[in-house]
Amino acid sequence: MSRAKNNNVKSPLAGFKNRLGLVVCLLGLYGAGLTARLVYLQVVQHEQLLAEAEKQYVEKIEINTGRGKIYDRNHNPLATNVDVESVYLNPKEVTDKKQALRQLTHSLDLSPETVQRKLDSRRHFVWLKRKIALTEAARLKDKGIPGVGFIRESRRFYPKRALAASTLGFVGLDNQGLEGVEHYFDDLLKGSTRKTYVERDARGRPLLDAEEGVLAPSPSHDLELTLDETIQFHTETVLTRQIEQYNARGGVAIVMEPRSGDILSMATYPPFNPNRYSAASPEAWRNPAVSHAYEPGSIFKPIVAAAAVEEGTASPQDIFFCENGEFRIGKATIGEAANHRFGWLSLSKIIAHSSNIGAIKVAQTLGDRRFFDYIKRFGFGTRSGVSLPGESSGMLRSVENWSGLSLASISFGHEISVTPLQMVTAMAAIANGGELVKPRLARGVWKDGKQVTHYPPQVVRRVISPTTSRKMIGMLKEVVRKGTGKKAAVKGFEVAGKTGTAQKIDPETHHYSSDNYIASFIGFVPAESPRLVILVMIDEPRDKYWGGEVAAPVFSEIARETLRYLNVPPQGERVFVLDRA
Amino acid sequence: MRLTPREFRVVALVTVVFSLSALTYVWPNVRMVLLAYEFQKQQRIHQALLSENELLLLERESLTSLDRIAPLATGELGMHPAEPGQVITVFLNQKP
Repeated sequence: MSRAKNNNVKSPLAGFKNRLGLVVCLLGLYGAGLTARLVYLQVVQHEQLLAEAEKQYVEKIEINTGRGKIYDRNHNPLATNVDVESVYLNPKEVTDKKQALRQLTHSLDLSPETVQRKLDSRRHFVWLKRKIALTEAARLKDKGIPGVGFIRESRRFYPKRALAASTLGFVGLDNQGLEGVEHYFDDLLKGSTRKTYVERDARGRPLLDAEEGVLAPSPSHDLELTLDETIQFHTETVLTRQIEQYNARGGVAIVMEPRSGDILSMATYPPFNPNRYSAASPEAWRNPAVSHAYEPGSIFKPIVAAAAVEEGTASPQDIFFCENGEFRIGKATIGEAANHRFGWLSLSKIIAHSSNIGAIKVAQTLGDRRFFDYIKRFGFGTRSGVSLPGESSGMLRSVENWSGLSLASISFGHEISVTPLQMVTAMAAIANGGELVKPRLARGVWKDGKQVTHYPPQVVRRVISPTTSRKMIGMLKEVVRKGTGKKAAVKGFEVAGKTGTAQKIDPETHHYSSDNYIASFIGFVPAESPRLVILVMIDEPRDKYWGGEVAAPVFSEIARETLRYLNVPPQGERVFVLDRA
Repeated sequence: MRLTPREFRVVALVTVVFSLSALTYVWPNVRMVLLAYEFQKQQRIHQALLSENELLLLERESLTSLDRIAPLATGELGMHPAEPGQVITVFLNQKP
């Protein structure tokens, strides 16, 4: 009975197997569908989907290396950078515009009209104020105004303020060089922008893995100048004091190493602070040492003498008749400064007493062509190639265009204009044995603490022989010993140099002014083994205007301080040499 | 469908091995992400310290600039340049 009953009932295992088969089939179909979909996504659409995914978790960022620093020759920073904040506004996110107006006006020191205009803007991004002070940023962040954001930027900072400002120049709001060295070396200093990809998590936080430090900026190219901070400071201080004492309009002083052409200091007046350059007049931004050309006056006479001695048409002892102070050339009558009436003078005394007529007589022994050639060989009428923008070549007319009076006028520094840098470079050639060197302002480029580029000193050409150079040094020493440049003397050192007092052209009458002069002195020290060539030019001094009175004392003081700083002992000073052993 | 104890042990062992493998694979990734966060945090601290250092250097340069030091030396401290007789120059011979 029970057996029959068992035969009629289906085995539960058979039912289970049927259902299992069904489930397996369904799962198999599902699996096949899933596999097909996966193959479609992973193989067919692989590239497209990968690109989509990367957009979500990989971000392209730009890393700027930052503007390179500028150092003096002892690696003291003259221009560097500081991180500051710039403030922007998304007007659409501002909830309370009245309160925002009040807070922003107060915190950023902006006018209510300016802030209101920005609040009313339809854009999503408006600059409120760029590169604000750290205190301003901190004050504004505390307020937490909705819609106000901050972006970190780099701001140029000149820690020595006005020191060498006209040489260094300055940069604009986007750190682009606008003047001076900053402009000339802008391509080098501005650095580069590197693009890189960074993975981010779901909350947008950057994840760094394999490329450790990928976000750290690579080192910038820094520039080392030939300027010396201490010499620059002394030069500026002494020049400024004299200009203010004589109520002068402006002035220039340059200190150069005659053998290398290194510019140790280049001071100009009026000064300005490049951290706030917009507060100064654009006239003050320019560097008159290279961009302005002046009639040099009597400081040009050593060029005439050097050419004549080199050509053998005159020697220091040769005498010339100086026409008792009145010399007619064509219709023009040429006299001496201070109405001197010199008779017979040797070439050495012509230079020492700065005789105009004597200089004419010496130049006449050369003739137009040879005189012109020497002027060119000394570098006048051509840019020196110094690493500064806006360099003037001065004004030297071609010899074919000279009038009957040109040779005479140029021999005492009129009818020619030269830049102060050209003048000091020419005097360096006389001082160093006769080689014209290229003035050097940049010494090298540094990266990551190592020098990667060196700018070596360059000799342009030999202008005069060492013998002529020695004779010229002898004549120029007489100027300071017995001539017009006595106030340029430095105790313990022999000084060689030349004074100059050039009348300026009156821009209204186009004639030489009887009131406005440029007082100058150019020289080198120690005379027999020159370490420094120094030029001082003071523009329109009042009360006194003679170069020997106004400019020579500035030379003396700069030379004394600089020689002391460079450890050049004066004669008579106790000197010890210690052996390391 | 019943599993024998032996089969059960096999399945359990496979499950444990699979789990451990999965954990071994996932754990370094998790650690890497956590370390990346930590690295970011340290880098921010490093950057902040560098910025502070840079500011301090700038302040030092600004404070030691000669246009500030010279008036302090002459005005407040009464210093003046050495007289010629007061100076002795000493050169050190570098040769061994």
